[in-house]
Amino acid sequence: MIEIPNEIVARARERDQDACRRIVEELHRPVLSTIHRFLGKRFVDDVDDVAQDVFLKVFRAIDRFDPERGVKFSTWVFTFVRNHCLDVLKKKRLTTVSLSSGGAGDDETSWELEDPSGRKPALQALDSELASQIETALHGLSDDHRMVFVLREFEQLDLKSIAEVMGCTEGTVKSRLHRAKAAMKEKLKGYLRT
Amino acid sequence: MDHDAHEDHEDTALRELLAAHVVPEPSPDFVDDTVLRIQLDAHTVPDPSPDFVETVMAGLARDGLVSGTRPTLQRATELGERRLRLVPLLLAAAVLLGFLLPNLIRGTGDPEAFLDQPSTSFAEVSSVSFDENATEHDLRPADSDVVPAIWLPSSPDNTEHGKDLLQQKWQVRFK
Repeated sequence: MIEIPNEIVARARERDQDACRRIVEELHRPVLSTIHRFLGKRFVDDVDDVAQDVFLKVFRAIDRFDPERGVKFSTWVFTFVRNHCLDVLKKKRLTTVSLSSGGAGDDETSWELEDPSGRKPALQALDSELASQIETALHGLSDDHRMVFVLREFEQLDLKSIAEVMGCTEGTVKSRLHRAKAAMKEKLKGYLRT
Repeated sequence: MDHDAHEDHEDTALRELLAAHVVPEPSPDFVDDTVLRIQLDAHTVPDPSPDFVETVMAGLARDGLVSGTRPTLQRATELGERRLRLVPLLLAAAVLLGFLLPNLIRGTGDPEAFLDQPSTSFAEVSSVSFDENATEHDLRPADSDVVPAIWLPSSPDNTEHGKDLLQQKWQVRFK
């Protein structure tokens, strides 16, 4: 897991441009990939905007980060990722409900339909049967289980950090992770070589 | 023990499988765009200092551009003074109202009561000889399309001379 030195954070707090850039450079890949995996390909065109919004929120609140609490800066940033992603999903679900009830086009369905003639470049990265199956399995998990699974299995955060991000105990994280893994194995059992 | 080993093996297999789930590369401009947005977001105009106005005024006074101290803003007229000015206005309005009130009452009196009063004017007019059996056709010349109008003298002259004049008027009018 990437670690941002406290001195860089302190400089960023003073609006030092180089420090801000260093933080974005170091963290943008894990932030983007977590958002991508958590939100799924339905939001493939929004991932950059969502990630930028996360960084904006981080830098607006950077004065509140207290290294004395023993929390890593990168872990603190992931709390923003989680909260903002949940906000995005909440808004999307509200929009989907209102459109569906109006009968003027099913937004949910239109996202799921694949158009082989007009695939976006971003979707090409996921354009394999296995990737699609993983995507489907991931989005069969609840939001909390999916976030725990992504942070642990893709971003390799330790259990303590995940507990900080999720705002729960390590025991809860272990439990969620166990259930999430079991569900993923069940859905992907045709591909697992045991 | 065998169960744990089997689970570890499954976990390893799952991790290998997950490696197939790759995400797109970030756009090349992502970092630059994000840093720019952060800078723009942080670029706020600071609030003026609390003593900004006093400092500016002190500078202007020192340079001789303004003189004296700033007067304290007061009401254009004090409340007591405004009350005193109202008294003569109210008195004048009361006098004017007292003067106009009888005329107003007379002008807006009950019309029924007015009609029930014996009319001296009608009594005098009735004394003028007038053919009650005459029809409109008799009164109006055949070649005239003038519709006779009801004419009542506002203040009939009750003298003999006045009666003669009145009779002449009627004769001229309906001849």
